[in-house]
Amino acid sequence: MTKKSFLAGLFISLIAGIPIAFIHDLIGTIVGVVVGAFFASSKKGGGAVGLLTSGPIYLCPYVTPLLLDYLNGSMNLLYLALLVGYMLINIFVIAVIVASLLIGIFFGWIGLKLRERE
Amino acid sequence: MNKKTIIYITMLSMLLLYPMASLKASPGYNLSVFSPNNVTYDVDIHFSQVTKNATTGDILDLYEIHIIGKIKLISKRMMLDYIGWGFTVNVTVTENNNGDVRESEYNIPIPPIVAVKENTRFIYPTKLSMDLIQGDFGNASMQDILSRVSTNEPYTEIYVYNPFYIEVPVSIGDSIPYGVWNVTSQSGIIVNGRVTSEETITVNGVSYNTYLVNITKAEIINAVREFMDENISIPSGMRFNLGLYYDKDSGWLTKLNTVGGGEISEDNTTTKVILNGNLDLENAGTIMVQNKSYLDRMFGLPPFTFLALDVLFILAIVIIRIKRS
Repeated sequence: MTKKSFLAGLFISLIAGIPIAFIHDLIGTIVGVVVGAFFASSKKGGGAVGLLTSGPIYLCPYVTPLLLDYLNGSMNLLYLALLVGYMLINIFVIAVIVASLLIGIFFGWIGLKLRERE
Repeated sequence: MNKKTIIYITMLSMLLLYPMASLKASPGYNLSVFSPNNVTYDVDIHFSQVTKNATTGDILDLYEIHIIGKIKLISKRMMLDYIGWGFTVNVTVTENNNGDVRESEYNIPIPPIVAVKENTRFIYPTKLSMDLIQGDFGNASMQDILSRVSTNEPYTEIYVYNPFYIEVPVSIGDSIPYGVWNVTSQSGIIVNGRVTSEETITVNGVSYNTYLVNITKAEIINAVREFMDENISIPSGMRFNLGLYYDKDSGWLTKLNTVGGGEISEDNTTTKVILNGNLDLENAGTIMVQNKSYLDRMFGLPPFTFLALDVLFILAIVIIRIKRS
């Protein structure tokens, strides 16, 4: 794994996953993590991509509209904190991040194998 | 596995991914309808009840309520196939009780407290909301309630049919169920709406191709007949109609209007009841109404643009990665 491919994997994961997450959160998260981890091409890099990007991709459709509302002034900070706080204490978010870590490791390993074979 | 095989597999996966936003099954649900975020409706409901002396015409009793404001839907996945729905309610309620006018403003964020099962129209209450309704928390503090939020689960004994979306496509004459059903006792109140026409409507300046589903007084009477006392009869002058307009591409509710009322005469008094209500889609948020995603709508792009760009981006990344190795 190079530092470059890992960083590229991080950005690619977000760019690939977020538009799909706005249609279906889980599909978007999985597609983003798979593509990012594949580009990172290592078990460590893939795992890190899964760990770091799954949360933002998965939560993006929920948080973005709330944040825009807050920035537009149509929602106050207390309500934003209450609604985002509810989301953060949900145990399913942790399950998604752990699953993404494992998917990231697997697809990072596939990317690595491909690179080694070629 | 050689390079060509990987590219072919990726292209095939992408081709399968592309239509997921609207097709899935036919008829079926659009994938985006289960998790609405930032979906805003303008609410305008007016109800009045005036009782007059039938001989003199003097007003004996007057009650009016006018609710105007906005309701916003938010959602968050609760379990693998259940999505929690919540609301932010921002309404002004004006009440007129025999000339005593009171105006109150409500701005309440309600975190996801009901659960929608994916690929169905079932809305389940959650165990937390059931405990709150049944008063099982007693004098529990907010901390006790919040500690239950993280492990909150759907209560699957009862479900309500979700009025916010339907399967698409539907045909004129098709029946759409609404109401509540108790799974354990196999009983409930189900009102069957009927698809009566396909209409193009304009809501808040946006034109939508819609299916119109009507629920009439007769359908409601049919649904509640078994629960009614035989001695109670519905006054013949009462009228009611509920019209729900669903976007043809996504099956999402774009407009709801209700009109109802009538006159009841008894003991030298006449009571006139009027109900008018409208729910107009102001912002479709993350729902793919007219096949446009949240990002397409935000940037004013044609349908499927962001999804198509995303698919091309993923293909390009895979091809670049394989060519470099």
